[in-house]
Parts: sequence; structure tokens; C-alpha cells
Amino acid sequence: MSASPEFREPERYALDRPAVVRRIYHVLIVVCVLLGLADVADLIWHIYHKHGIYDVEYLPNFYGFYGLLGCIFLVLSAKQLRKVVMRDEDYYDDDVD
Amino acid sequence: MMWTELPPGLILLLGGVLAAVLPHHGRKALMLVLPFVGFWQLIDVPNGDHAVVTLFGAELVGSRIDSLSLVWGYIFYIAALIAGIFHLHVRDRMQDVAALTYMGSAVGAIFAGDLISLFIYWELTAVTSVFLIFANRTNASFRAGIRYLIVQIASGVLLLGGLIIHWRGTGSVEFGNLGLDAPGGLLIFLGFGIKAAFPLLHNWLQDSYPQATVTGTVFLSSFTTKMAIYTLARGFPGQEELIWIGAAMTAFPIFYAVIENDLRKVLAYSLNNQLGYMVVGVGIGTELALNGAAAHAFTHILYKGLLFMSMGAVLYRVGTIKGSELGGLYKSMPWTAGFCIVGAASISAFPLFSGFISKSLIITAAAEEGYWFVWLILLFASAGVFHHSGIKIPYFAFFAWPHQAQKTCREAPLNMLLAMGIAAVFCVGIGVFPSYLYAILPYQTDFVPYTGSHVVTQLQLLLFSALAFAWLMRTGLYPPELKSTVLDFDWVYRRALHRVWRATVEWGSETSGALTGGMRGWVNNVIGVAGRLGRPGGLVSQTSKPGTGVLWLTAMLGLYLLVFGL
Repeated sequence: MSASPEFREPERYALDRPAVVRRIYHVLIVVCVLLGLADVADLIWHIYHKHGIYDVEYLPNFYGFYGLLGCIFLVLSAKQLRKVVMRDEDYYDDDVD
Repeated sequence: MMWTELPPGLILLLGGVLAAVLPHHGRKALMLVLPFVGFWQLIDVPNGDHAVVTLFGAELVGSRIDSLSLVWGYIFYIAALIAGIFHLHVRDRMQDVAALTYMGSAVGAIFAGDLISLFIYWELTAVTSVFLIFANRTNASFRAGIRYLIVQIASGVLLLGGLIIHWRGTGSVEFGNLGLDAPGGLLIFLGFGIKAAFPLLHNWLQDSYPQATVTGTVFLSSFTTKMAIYTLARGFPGQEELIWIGAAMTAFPIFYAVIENDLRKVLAYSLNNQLGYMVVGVGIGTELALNGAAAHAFTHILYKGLLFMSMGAVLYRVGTIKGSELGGLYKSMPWTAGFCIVGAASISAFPLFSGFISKSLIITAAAEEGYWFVWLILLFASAGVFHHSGIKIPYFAFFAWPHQAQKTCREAPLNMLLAMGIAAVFCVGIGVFPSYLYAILPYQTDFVPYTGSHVVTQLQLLLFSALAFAWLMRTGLYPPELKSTVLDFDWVYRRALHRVWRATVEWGSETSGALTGGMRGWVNNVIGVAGRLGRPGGLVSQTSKPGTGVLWLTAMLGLYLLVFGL
């Protein structure tokens, strides 16, 4: 590798401040709520004419809830999977012929 | 005319042979110029079968240019150029030769119009690409390379067996729509399936790609698997089994991607998942779905290459790619971080990025054809992709706060940044102007990706997935990156079978020890006879019948090269 990493006190950036990270989180929540409400608004005023093939797609924020629950399921079950398939980093190091 | 009759793959292949004797700058010039030459040939030569020759009663088509093969041809040359630029600083003859011959074989396979030519190129991609893994020159990479080679050659053997049965059964070696019911169809299907990383046949990918060199992985990620997708689209379009195989491929690798610590391995799992979408598209087999598979292969090569390049740049500068040891690198490598985010947004199919306009063709086709369960799996996998490729990769490499002191390093070299920049421009360009990609797809399409409904629902899916990540992170429920080995199916052949073998040998030696000399004498006799037969000049060590077949094929390759290469 071309350059060996040095260890030194890094500069402080905005993202290093917990308050900034918290604000990003809050903005994300607000955007999500607005996206969910867009579906409700579309039901009433037909803003963007939601078109779907299955009935379930017309439930307000179906895609949002499906993504949210899907990801939580994915991460929590992957965490359980670790109990079965996780080994030490050097598990295969003693490969013999 | 020479130019028309030249099989496309030979441009890079012969360039690779030439590179074996050229000095450093000559080799690099070849890697930059030849993709343009190849691309120009594809534009210049009219559609149709060229370089047709009859050998041993089989009609070989060296260059079949049509709307399906051209999509793959174009993107392979674009990928060759980008990877060549990324690789520009590397002074290693072995990797240059391996990369050029490997890419040439892959292009050759795409334009092969018959199964024999396909088989030859198919095997060549295996024996050339393995040197990109060996080139790391570590014990682990050597072993991974050998495992890779065994699996790849097995895929070729299946293809060879299927092709012989097919030849005998039908009298033709044409590579067209075969279907599982054709003679030899199943063997050919499985041969393609190994390289397409079907479930349980997939593990060579996650095992070997993270062991290749920094630049080698970028080459590897673009060609082998997408070549396999092309052969499925050519040989088995509309084969319903593929829909379910593909759906399984989209779903199950993402669980591994969440807990894997080696970020290049995470990308290998997500590559597997992306192949799943293409396999579903091929399986559905409608014009919309096949367009989707082709379009997704095209965009996927660009954004997956971009992601592998960004992780390669981190590995090059920091010396590790373990999520548990990285973080905060956006300060040292802001450009690389930015390009990585473009790749992440593309693979996640954010509106205005390339994945959005290709994946939606496949998901729409699945829904339209009434595969509601598959549609639900694809949506779940889309959310999951964003979760592990879209967020996990950039987050743990560039933003997460590391446990140790934060690492600082230099930004990636200029050639790496240039290569990533070009790929990023393609990702955004295709996302914003999809009509240019749609125009080269196999079938005419009037698909409109940017409808209000589609954009809003996709943003809901993605941003709520981001919310899930943020919430799990802030509550501490998200599993931390841990130094670990995660066992996958390769454990079966790396450990379980090994143990069974050892136990059998031990049991055998104990049993023979317990028995009297008569048994042992019998065993010794067998060993003695085998030794006499097997020594040089013995009966078994002479060329036997299956070998003759392989010899014939090799001779045909030689003739083939002579006829068209000269």
C-alpha cells in the first residue's frame, strides 16, 4: 500500500458535532412524514395520480411502511443470524492442504 | 472484409498477448486505446452473423452482432476503459496481461454465436481472471484463487457436457434459445448458473473477489457474472424457474451483507443480489422484462464498478477495508466519498440515478405479469439494498466514528479519481437522460420511469429505509461491525467435506489395522497395480478418450484463431 496511515488528532467538522447529527435525523423524520402525507393528500386531491397494479399499493404510505418494517426485520434477523454463522476472524487461517 | 470478419473478442485478447512482451507504457497504452477500437468495431460492423466457418461439421459463428449482444458489448468496452484508467498506476505485467485477455474472452463470449466458441471463451475467462486474484501474492489469495478456478472450471465442464449432448441430440451447436427441455439443456443451464451465482452455487464470488488486488476486483466485478446473465438471456429467456431462483438471489445475500465486516465482501453480496433482479427479468421473459435485465446489467456494471473502485481506493490508501477499522475518511478522501455516494445512490435506485431507470423495468414487469409474491420480495430487497449498499458502505467507510483514533490519509491517486469520476458521470447521466440507454435495448420501449407516482413511492421506500437505519443506529440496536468470519455455503466444501474425508481416512486406517495381514496385503496389491498403471508410460497415464475430446477442442481453438486472427 502506498501510504501508511498516520494517527493524529483530526480536524473538527460540522458532522463531528452530535447536535448536527441529531438535526439531520430530525430533518429525515420530517421528510418521511411529508412523504407519507403526500399519499393522503393524493387520495383527496389527486396531486400526482398514484397508479398501481395491486390494491395494497393504494394504502397511504404503503411503500414507506413496507421499507421501514422490511429493514428493521432485515437487521434484527441478520443479528440473530450472527449467532449461528459468526466465527473468529482467523477461522479459516489454519487451512491445510 | 477483415474488419467485419474479426471476432470482437480477439481485439482485447490479442492485445493481451502483445502486452506480455511490451514495456509498462506500451501495456497501458493498449489498455486505454483498445476499448475504443473495439467500440468502434461494434458501431461500424452491420448486425448479423460474421466470421462463420464450418469445422468438423459444426458451424461456428465467431461474431454474431444483434440488438441483445450489442448492449453487453457496449458496456463491456466502457467498463474496460474505466477499469483500465483505474488500474493505470499499477506496474505489474501479470495483471495487465490477465486483465486484457480476461476482458477479451468476456467480449468474445458475448458475440459467440455457437456453443463451442462460447465454451472456449467461457473457459478462457476463468483461467485468465484467476491471475487477478493470484496477483495479490498472499497465501490467502492463492488459496482463494485455486477454489475460484475449481468452481469456474466446473462450470465450463458442465457447459462442455451439455454442449456435447446438445450437439449429438440436435446436430446443431447454434447458441440460440435453448430452454431446459433441449438436449443437454439442464447441464448448460447449471453451467451458466454457477457463473451467474445462483443460490448455493454462489459462494465462489464472495470468497474470491475480496481476495483479488485493489484493481483486480474492479475488473472481476464487471465481466464474469454479467456474461452469465447474457447467456441466460440468450439461452433461457422466459424460463419460469429463473424467476424463483432470481427472487431468492435478491433476498438472501442481503442478510449476509448486513453482518459482513469486509466491505468489499459486502459489495460482493450486494452484487449477488443485483444479479437476482436480472435473473428475474430473464425468467419473466417479456419484452419489458428482458429490456429490464439488459438495462440493469448495463447500469449495474457502472455503479458496482464505481463502488468497488471507491472501496479499492480506501484499501489502497488505508491498507484495510474492514468496517470495524474504518470511519471518518470523508475528511481525508472527500472526492472518493462523493463518488462512493453517487454509486450508492445509483445502486439504491434513487430517482435521477441510473439504478432507478433500470430496476423499475424489472419490478414493473414482475407486477404486471401477476407475480405478486416475487414483486414483494423484490421490493423488500430494494429496501435492503439501500440499507447495506446505499448506507452501510459509505457510512462505515467514510462517516462512522471509529473506535480507535481516526485514520488520516491522502486522497486517492488522480487516475483512480478520474475513473471514478467517469463512472459517476455515467450513473447520473443515465439516471437523468434514460432515453439514450432505452434506445439501445433489445426491444423498442415507451416505458416512462419518471411519473409522479413512481418517484414518490420510490422515495417513500428509500427514505423510510434510511429512517430505519438511523433509528436502529441511535437506539444501539444496529449490530456493530465486528472482526469476524461469517460462514456461508463455502463452509460445506472448506470444512464439512474436509472433515468427512479425514474421518473416513482415519476410520479406514483403523479398520485395516485391526484386520489381519491378508486384508492389508490385498490393499497393498491394489496400490501396487495402480502405481504401475499410473507411472509414466503406464496404461492410465496415456491419453484416454475424454481427453481426446478436449484435445480436439483445443486444436479447433488454435485453428479458429489462425483462420480469423491472421
